Amino acid sequence: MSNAENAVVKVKKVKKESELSYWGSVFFRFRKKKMSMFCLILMTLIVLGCIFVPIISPHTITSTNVANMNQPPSMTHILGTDELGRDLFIRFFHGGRISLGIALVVVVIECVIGVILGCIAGFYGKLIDTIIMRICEILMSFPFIMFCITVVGIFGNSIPILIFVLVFLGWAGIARIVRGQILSLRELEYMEACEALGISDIKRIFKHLLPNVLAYVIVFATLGMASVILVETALSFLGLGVAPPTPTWGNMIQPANQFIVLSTRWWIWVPPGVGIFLSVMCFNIVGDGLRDAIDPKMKR
Amino acid sequence: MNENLNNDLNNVDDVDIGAMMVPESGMPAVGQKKEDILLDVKGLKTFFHTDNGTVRAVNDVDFYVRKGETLGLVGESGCGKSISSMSITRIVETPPGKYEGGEITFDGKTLLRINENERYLLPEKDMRSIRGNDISFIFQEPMTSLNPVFKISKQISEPMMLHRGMTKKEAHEESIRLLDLVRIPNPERIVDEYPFSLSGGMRQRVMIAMALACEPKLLIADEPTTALDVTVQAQVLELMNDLKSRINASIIFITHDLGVIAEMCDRVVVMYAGKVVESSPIEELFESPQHPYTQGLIASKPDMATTEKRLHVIPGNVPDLTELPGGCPFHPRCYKVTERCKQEYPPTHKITDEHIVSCWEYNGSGISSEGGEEA
Amino acid sequence: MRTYIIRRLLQIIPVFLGITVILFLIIELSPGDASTNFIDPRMRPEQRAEIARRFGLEEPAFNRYFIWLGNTLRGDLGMSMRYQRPVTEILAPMIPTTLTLALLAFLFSVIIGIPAGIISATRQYSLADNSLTVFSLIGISLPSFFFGLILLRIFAIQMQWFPLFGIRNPLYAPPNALAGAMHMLHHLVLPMIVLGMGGTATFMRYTRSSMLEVIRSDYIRTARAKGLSEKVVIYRHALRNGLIPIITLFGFWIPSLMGGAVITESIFGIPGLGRTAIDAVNFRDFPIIMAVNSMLAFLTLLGALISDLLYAAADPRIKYD
Repeated sequence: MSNAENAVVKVKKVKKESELSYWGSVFFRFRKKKMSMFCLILMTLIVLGCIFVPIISPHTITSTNVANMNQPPSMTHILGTDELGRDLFIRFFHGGRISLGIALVVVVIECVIGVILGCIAGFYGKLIDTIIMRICEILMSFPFIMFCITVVGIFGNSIPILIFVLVFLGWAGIARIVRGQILSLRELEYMEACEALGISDIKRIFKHLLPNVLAYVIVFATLGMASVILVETALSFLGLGVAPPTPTWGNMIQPANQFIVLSTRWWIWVPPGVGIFLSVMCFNIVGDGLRDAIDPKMKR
Repeated sequence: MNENLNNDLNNVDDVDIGAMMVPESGMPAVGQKKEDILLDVKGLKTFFHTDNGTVRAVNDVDFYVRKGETLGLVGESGCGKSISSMSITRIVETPPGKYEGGEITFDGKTLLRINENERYLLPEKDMRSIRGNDISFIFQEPMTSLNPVFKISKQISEPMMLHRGMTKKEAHEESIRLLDLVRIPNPERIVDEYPFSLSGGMRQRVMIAMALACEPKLLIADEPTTALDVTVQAQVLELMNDLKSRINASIIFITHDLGVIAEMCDRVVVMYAGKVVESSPIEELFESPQHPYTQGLIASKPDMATTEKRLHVIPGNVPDLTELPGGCPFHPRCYKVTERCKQEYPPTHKITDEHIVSCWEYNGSGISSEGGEEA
Repeated sequence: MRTYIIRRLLQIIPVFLGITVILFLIIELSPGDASTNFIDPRMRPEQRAEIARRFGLEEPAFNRYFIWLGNTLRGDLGMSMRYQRPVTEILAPMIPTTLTLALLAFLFSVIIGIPAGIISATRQYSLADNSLTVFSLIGISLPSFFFGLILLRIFAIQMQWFPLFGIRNPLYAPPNALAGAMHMLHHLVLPMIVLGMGGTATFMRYTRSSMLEVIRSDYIRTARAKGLSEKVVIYRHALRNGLIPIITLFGFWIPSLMGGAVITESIFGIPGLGRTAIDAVNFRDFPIIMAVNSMLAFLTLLGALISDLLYAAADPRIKYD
């Protein structure tokens, strides 16, 4: 009996879902997954921490204090201090700012370039499509990490160069997805109807095709955040990304290359590693959750 | 009372089925010797527990199949015909599916008995020796029902090597013979092909050959022609009709097409929303359908003989099985609906030994098809 | 089939040339090269010209690209600016080390990842499935260098089960070849796990979703209806189909392994291609940089071709001609 009642209650909920708008129903399905919601909240907390902790903290990232170096965590220095006596708690959040900030900038530029070129390739086809797709193919055949190391190594460690090289290799992925979507959407009847009504190309792209593609771009961007964070921190760890003294979660782990830090001073290298891990995991899970919510056919 | 009956079933082998009938189940098996009955399904319940609620796909279904008989299971899609048949050999995916009740006896063996007191399922190992051997299936989708990465010979050979202990070579030769039996041209060549190189009709013939491989006692054909072109459909039906006389097996023929039923079957069970609404020999069903749903089905069948220009349509849609309407599930679409239909599920009336109907409107002399609004 | 392979190999050529041109351009645009390391501000112009000649820098860039290309095709990768030795001679001993590491990591991923994915799919939503899913999420989210450091901290420093550094102890003289190999394997256990972790998680996720899809397909129902045991249904009928996308992934996985090797080798101090390349970048030793980059690009392209061929081998429906 309670089973039957349960069924009725659940059915009512489903009924409600069908009344929601497209994005409303996406969020409805997303919310049903506890893991995705938990990660969304955790992600928000990490981002808020990275924005606000450096503003309100009494310490600064550069204030060194030789008398106070290599201190384990304490009340004054929540995550201890490093070999120059700098407060690691504030450096943790500042490093997060840089790591997440770089990832955000890279992903946004990638998406803008990728969507524009993908739309052009998919919509106009023919020669321009061939050229753009050939370029994508070349870029996707690059040895990714090695090429980043080469470029950053040659031009020197700077954030703009790092962003440039990640975008340079990264836009091809989203361009191909957008092109594929456009190609399949173009075949649908309503685009033919638009054509018959004499709606201009630009208007057709922006009013009718883009909103359909947007869902895929959002999923790509979320998962892209995770992979860019991983690459940036790895490069910075190798000393070929963001250079000290600017902290990122990657170069904050670098001291662990010294035996003494690795074996006895965990507070120096573990927190930034955990920071990378948690934020990457959150973006991955939220991205997966969004993909399932946007395209329910994919799951089950 | 129930317990006694179960004991009877456990202990007595050669007893009249009629004598053991549970009154409320309404099985019209009086006078039927047990030996005549190959498959007996009583009170079968198969539910699916999903996120969106419990789907009562098969909800208290009774039917039986005699030896050598062809039984038609008819109803709209989603009425539980396929799940009923798949429940017999337990190839419903569990979870989300679950066998919630009922009793299935096949060839003297109890395959399943679930009630408040016990939950008996024939051990998986014994069940496997029945599947593909005593009971085999022909499925609806020939395009996807064959494994795309194995050659035809391997797929037909598998059950023979498993159940009949044939060697690979013997099974291969037998496969060729079976392909020839289902009238596939060049069987020696086709046997070494992969399914993707065959057309839908050819693949369905392969499925039939595979189902016949172990000379089953019961063949369950689940909409075997639905996915095929009309001309191919006719060929496959003809083939099956032809084979029917040769293999001497009972057949359960599942379809939503009454025309096919008329051509193939001896007896028909009409299902609606997980329930049996009417069951009758074929001529009787077409001559005097009792349930308003059956009447609707027959009336909506295109008929060359009539002069009417428009096809009859049963109003409304198949209900969502997670939220069945109360009472008789057909009441929202029924032209003879009464207040009572909305409250209670109707009892099962026996019109003749073979003909039963579940409807409140049945009054012992048949439901007139010209009935009006009463309530 | 053969014509298809030849056609694909021909298609690789323009992509490969495109990559090398871009690499060459970037190196040309760079401020300074290895020769700057040898140039003293007090040097006279003749001496500078002499150094430029020695490094083959006197020709214009356009010509130098074709000289490089011609030499590379003949198997001559040029002279290392830093070591003043042929690049081939420097890289030759590195390649087996990196390939061994990559192969070990790949086998590790396949042997752990695919069975885990099958278990997950056949027991969907069970405790085993849920924990394996969590593990795979950790696997794709944990940065490999951080994971490597954790393993070093626990198993090399704390437990002292594995060595901290390198691929062999210079003080250890193995009595025979087998002992030597075991000695090297012992050094490679932690690097293998670190490099294989991403692949393990990825293969597991792909196997799980692919198997879930296959298990629900009509032909698996047919296989069950034949009376086959669940083992045969899963491990013969379903797996044979479910592995098709995974096998296709193998070729595409080569570049990931190579990229990961760069990071893994630098954490564990393994003298392989990756670490040599990082050293070369730091020293602006362009011939080595060009050689390693082109080699990895070629492997990437080859991986895509291998994937196509594996796909055709695994799926009878795919025919190339």
